[in-house]
Amino acid sequence: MISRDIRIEHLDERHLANLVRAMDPPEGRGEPEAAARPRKRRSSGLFERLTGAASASADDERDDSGLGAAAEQAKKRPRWRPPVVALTRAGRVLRLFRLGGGTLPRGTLRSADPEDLKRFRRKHELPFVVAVDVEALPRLYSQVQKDVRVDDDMVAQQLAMLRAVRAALDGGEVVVEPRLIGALPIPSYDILQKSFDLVLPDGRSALFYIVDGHRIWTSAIVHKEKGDVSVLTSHRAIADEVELRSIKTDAPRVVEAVTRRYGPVHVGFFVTLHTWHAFVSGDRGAIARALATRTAVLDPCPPWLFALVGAGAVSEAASRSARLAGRLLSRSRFLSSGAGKLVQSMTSPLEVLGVDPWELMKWAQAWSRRVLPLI
Amino acid sequence: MGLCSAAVTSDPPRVCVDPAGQGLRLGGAGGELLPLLAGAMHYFQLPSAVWPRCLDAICELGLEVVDTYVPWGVHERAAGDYDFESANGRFNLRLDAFLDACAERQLKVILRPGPHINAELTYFGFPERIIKDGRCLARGASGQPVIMPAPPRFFPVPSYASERFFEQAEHWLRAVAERVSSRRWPDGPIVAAQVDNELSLFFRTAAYDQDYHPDAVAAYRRWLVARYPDGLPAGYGAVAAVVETADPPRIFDAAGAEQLVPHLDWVAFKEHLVQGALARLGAALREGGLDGIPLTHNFPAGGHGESVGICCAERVVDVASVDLYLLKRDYGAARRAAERVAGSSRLPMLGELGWGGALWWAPQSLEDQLAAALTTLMHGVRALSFYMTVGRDRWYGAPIDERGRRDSARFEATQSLVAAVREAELWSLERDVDVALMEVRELRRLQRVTHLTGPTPPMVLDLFGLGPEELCSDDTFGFASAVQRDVARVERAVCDVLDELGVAFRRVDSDLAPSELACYRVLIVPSFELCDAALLERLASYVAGGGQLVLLPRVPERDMQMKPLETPIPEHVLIDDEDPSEALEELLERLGALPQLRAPEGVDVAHYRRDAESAIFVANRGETSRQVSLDGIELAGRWVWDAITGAPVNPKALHVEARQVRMLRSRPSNTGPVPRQPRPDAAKDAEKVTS
Repeated sequence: MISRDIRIEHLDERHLANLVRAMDPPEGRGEPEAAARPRKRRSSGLFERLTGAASASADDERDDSGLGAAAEQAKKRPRWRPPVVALTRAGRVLRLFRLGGGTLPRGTLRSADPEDLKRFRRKHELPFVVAVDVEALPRLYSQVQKDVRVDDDMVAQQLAMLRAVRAALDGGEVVVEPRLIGALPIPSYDILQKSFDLVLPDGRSALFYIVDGHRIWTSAIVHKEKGDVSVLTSHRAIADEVELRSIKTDAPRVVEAVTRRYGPVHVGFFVTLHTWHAFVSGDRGAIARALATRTAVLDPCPPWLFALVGAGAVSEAASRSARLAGRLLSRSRFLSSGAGKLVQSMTSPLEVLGVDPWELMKWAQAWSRRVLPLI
Repeated sequence: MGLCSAAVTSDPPRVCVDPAGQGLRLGGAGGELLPLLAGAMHYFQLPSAVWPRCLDAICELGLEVVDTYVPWGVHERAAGDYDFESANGRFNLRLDAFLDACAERQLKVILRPGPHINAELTYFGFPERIIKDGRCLARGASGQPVIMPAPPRFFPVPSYASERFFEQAEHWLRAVAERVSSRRWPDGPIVAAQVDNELSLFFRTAAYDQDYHPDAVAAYRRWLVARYPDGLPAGYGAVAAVVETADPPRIFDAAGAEQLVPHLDWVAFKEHLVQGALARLGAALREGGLDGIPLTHNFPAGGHGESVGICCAERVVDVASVDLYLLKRDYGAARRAAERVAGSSRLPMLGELGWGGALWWAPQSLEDQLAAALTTLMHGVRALSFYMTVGRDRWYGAPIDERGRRDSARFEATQSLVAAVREAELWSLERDVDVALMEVRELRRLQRVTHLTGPTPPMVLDLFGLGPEELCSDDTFGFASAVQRDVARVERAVCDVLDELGVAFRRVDSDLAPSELACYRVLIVPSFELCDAALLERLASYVAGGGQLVLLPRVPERDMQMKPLETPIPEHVLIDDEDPSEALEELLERLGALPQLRAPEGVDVAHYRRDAESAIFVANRGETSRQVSLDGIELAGRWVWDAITGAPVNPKALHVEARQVRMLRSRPSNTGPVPRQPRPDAAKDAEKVTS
């Protein structure tokens, strides 16, 4: 999935920093009506089962995912505090410290028992707590080093690492509270590769632009060859040919420039920052509405992308008005298809993984909120 | 620290390290000074057509030196067959042409042929055949290869004890050296060569993580024989008492002081292994023809996780520098790294100062990097390389991009910084530093072996602000307290007191020669029950030379074999108070080592001088902006201006933003106007000169 010879070029730190934080909108962002709507949690069940993120958000963090009543709940989000790590031996706490430095009296935490950890985390309003059995660490390293093979793709290598960590989690040698990756089903590499091939076929490029006013807030351009991402770059790679100042007028020129430079574009995703923040704050219809008002452009728009950003809006719209769906699709090759049938066919790449993309996003967001401040 | 080891070769040296540690000397110790302000540019990642534009831009930045890697895995066509000519594949291999292009512009070159280079290359620049040859690979405690989890492919790391690996690496180094030896200064631009890169067993310096390669184990046994000619100490136990079959410890299992010995020895051996590897690889470069110029090395800024001390490394290379990739918020870490290299290296240098970054690191802003640069210059760094100055694949944020275009903000900021350093001739200014805090290597080893986190690299934990206080065990081994944790507490307490008193200090390696310690009036040594007898002898020489030795909190009793010390303890002041502040202040006052200027809490001030010239650094460590008065520095009748912007400043009410480091210049006002016009945007920062 990632070429050993991948080219990563024409990036800059400001756009890169924005990209890293793209999943975590500033507090209070999101459209008011979305915030006002009662939160209707929709879950495949899978991620709820596996991550505990959904339950953690409901029970503990209130707006852990940021995907519900975003604005109001985001305001209630507790101040981020450094996570705490407990080093243990046979359940006994040897050392307790904050990531970032500073020890805590070890009596503060009774044991590495998940219930104790849960109480401790709640009491101290921590993003997460990790308990690690020090006797297990050499075994964990040894297992990882045994399982990682040099010829494997890096994603396969990471999966091997993840499996070793997962085994340590299952064995109680490492405990993470909340169970952010507690019951994570780790997909096989083959399935991931197949899904990826459906998401972005070989020889094609994908573009992702977020625009703030007349300036690009962040961008990513990827190109895929022989199953692997072979290029990762940004708008700066084509800056000598075209500069995007207006989504409405410049998006097609960007697509053309990328096609000339890297190859045919399979995905073109251009949205405003406002729309993006609303979308990741839980307003599923934000991008669909922006498409209708031409403040977003999805062109080309493969079925999976349409499903991702439009399914909720389309299903609502389809029941009320075929006209809205028509507007949503006005620039895509799905214009003439029936909306319901489209949604059915479009979700296939993600179905291969058995993942609800919204739940995936929720999980990613929960992680980013907990972990990004560490970076 | 004037050892000029390039001069050891039979011919007169072409280039050597300046005896005063200000840079390199072209033509030997009395030759022209070349301050080492360098910019990194990787010729192999760029088409030849853009080289001229990039090199011209480097000149415009005010840099005189280019540093470049020479990647083994990229130049190698087949085992032992190297291509230095092609330019039609993904990589441009025309090394000679690049060196000539540098020479045409009077740019000097630091050549860095590895064998390890990283450079964000797949497999860190090693040929694939090396990392797939089991005979070359480092081994973990249970015998498996040791994986480096670096994108875009995790790979097993080579063993720096493997004979097979050395044979291959030496072949490469000799080939490069032969290829470029005719381009050494003055016949060409090469003024120094770097041996390997960040030699720290690939950052995996935890005691029991690696290297259990058979060749390492054999070397360990030979090392033990040399260390203990009369047989192993009791701590090795009866089973391992036969040196020839002694197995290195694979887990920490010591309960008492004597049982610590094999563990401490194992870490000491690994330092010896790293030092030996540097020596051997350096020798290959010399044999290939790169003699007569200094050899350098760059260690990762590892805090308590470094693989070997700077002084040890400088016994086999001329300059051991450190690399620094830190953010604005990491002022303390940047300062410690600078104090350490300034206290222990013969040329305090940042081999790589992160200038931009790699995708897989936290995004680093220009502001972050300027702050890191100024912090390190403030605390004693005299030479540095901006890594990267020219952008390339898998790197962002360089002031010159991969097409040779300038990123205006970064370019101007770099230019201003370089101009400020050059105009001040900062490398030649001196700061009065009377106090040194010793970092005792033997105690560092104790911290390493008592780490609770097993193979987890201390350097990685360091990035999360975690050190021995958080990570070492509470075991006392029969000592009065858990020494491994108390060392860190004592060091921190001493630093806090010195900061509060505004006392400038350096961190010195315990391997430093007594002659190098003589410049400090006060030497503070964290001291516990155990101490290396050889260190006591060095301390005795220091005291005999008139130095004031301070031990705290205890007086050593045992040597490193845990036997009662036979070496007498040199004359000293013992501070055994729980809180050493009062006693230290009293002592420093008595010795006249307290500064005139006592900066407000949370502010550091460093004053560098040479004749009438001076540079003043002011750092605000706090989270809010401050007005700082430099009343304690004699500035009446002098111009004072911001060295970066050129704008005049008011030293009685200097505005310093939160976490900002400002560099000021000062000169008598009768010596003419401020030498550089303020930048147009500097007007808004300008403050009225009242001095």
